[in-house]
Amino acid sequence: MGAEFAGLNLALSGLMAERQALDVAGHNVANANTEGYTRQRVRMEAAGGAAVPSIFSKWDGVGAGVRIASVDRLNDAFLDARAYAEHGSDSALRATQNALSNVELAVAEPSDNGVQAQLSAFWSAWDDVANNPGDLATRSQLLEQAKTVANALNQTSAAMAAVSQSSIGQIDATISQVNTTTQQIANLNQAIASATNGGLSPNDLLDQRDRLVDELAQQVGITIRAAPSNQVDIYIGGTSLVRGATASALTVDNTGGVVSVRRQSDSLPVTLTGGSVGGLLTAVNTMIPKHQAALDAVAQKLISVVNAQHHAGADLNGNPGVDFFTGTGAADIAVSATVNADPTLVAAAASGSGLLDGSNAQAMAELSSGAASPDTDYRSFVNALGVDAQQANRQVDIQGDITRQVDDARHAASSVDIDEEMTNMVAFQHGYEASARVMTAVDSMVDTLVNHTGLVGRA
Amino acid sequence: MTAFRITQSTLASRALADLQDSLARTQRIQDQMSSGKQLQRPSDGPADTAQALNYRSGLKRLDQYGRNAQDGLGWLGTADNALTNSLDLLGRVRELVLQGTNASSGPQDRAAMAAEVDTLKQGLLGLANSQYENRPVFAGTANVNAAYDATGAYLGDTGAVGRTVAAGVGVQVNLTGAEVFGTGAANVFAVLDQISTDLRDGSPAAIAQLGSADLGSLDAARVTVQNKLAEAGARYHRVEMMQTRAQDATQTMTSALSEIEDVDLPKTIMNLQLQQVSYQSALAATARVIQPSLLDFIK
Repeated sequence: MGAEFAGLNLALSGLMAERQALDVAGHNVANANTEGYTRQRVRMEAAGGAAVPSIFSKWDGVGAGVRIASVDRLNDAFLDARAYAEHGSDSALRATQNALSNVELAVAEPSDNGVQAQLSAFWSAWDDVANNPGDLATRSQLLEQAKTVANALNQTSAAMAAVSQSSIGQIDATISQVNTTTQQIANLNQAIASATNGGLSPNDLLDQRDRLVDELAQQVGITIRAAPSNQVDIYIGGTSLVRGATASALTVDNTGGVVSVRRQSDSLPVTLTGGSVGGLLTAVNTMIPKHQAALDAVAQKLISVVNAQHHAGADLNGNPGVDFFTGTGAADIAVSATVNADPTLVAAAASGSGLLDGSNAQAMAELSSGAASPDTDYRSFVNALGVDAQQANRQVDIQGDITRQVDDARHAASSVDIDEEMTNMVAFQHGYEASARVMTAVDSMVDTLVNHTGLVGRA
Repeated sequence: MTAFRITQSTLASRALADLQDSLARTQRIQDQMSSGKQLQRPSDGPADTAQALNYRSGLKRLDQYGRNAQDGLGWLGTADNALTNSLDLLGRVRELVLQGTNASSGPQDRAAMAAEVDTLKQGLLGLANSQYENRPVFAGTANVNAAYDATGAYLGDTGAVGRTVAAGVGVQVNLTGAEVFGTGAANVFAVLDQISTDLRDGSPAAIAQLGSADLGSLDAARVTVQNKLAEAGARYHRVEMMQTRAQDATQTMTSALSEIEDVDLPKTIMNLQLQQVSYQSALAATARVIQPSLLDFIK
């Protein structure tokens, strides 16, 4: 009723509003370095009187103080969505780059010990046999060098397979983490929905959920869609991962030589191209098999070319040469056990010539160069690997710059500026002091009214 | 949206990212300097790597050609020695034949000459069985211990022993006994046997034969040996020339490989120093910028 007590309430509303605003500023400052924190700001609203006049209560036009309308969370949803996409791409490219870098380390060219050096030594050993066909020691030396070449190819192939295996292990581990994360997001969705429906501001829950979504984006590359009551639905490709409060778990399917990720409930395949899992899938399903096949082709060329030339020659006993190499690819190429046991079976002579002829061995040595040479194929393999790895490196650099820009833009919208909070705190402090002064003024006015009026004749 | 808002965390994260980039660049230069190679993995330069592998393979081949050439020179040298000595030997036999046809020599003298011819024949057999690295030089590609046996029968074959001294270039480094000393009934040893027999015979018919048919065969054999000696000498020079060319090619290829693979040391040292200066300036700038805030000025 009346002006005086209403004035007290008015001042009180001011005090409460400024105190709450100070609390929010303090919350911001306390979280200035919290990863993923979005700054909050109070929205104050002048409280008016009754909007609908009624018979016994009338509004005389003076306002009723201040009200905290809401505590706003200052994020930009579009920047957030963009950031998730860019983080997804960034992680994918880094994962692929990492896998290719490991394959490059396994190949180890150019060097004095790589496959190219061993091949060159192998061809030279044939010339040494041509120079001295009757000497068993020289023939044994050739066989040793041949075994070294076969070993080098075996090891390179095995190392590439190992990179593939460890990538699959990483995919498994990451997908389990993803399942945990999606469950947590679903739980948070539920909590946020309850809070929103109950009229509370779930700002910190939203921050927590956005942090988890960011982690998920880096792991599997997602797209989000807003759902009612501040919830968020998460999709990979077109398949839903989180829908409101329910999360779908994912499994890794490693049958048939191709690794894929499927939804556990209905085995629906998920097209995963983003995030570290996406990058690892690209490496395991496309990149590594491509280079593995190229290395196998080099081994197959070596086997077929050497065997063909060997068949055309005669060994130290005058018999036609048998298979020199056995195997079907880089993983199992080996020197034939029969030839390895008996150096006289090396076919150094041309068919029909004298036993100590060396022209077949010379022809073999000349296979080190030319269009029919396995060396040429090997160089193409190394070149292709280098090109892929170089491209991956470049893409990582470019994407890194883009991601950094998007992160900066996101920070610009949502991170805490201590200078700004300090300034606001000073303003709120003054506001509080001013409201307190108003209360003192009203108090003294009421005091005058209560204690100092109607005292005529009294002391 | 208002102008781009910069906060402390933006400054901090940007500064960290840029310092990280600077350190990564420093590390890369340091890797190059400590290894001396600018091509450490195929992704550093894919086309250059393929070319480097090509050069390395080529260098190994050139090295092998050098070794083949050296081995070939050994073969040709041994043959050359044997043939030179054979020529001297056959020259001595010719003298003896001429002496034998001379009417002033008596039966005893001719017997002595015949004995010498026999010894010379043994010497010639020994030369025909010369070996290089435990292999008879004049036996072709047969797997035998000697080119001629004690009776003068040829045990070898007519195969050629070649050495590859350059890409696609082979040189035959042997001479077969068949082409130098002959095979069958008409070989040099048979001629010497005939001379020895005729000397011991001493009859006018034998001496007449000594002077005509035997001398003719002997001269024919000498001419053959001389021609083959010249051939061996020519081949020797050719192999030497190819060897020199292989050495020159090795030099050229080594420097081409170094151009691609090895690091330019002065340039890299300078880059490293520039990079260090830039890193230090970045550190100083960061220190100045991220420290002050409004808190320093509000009481």
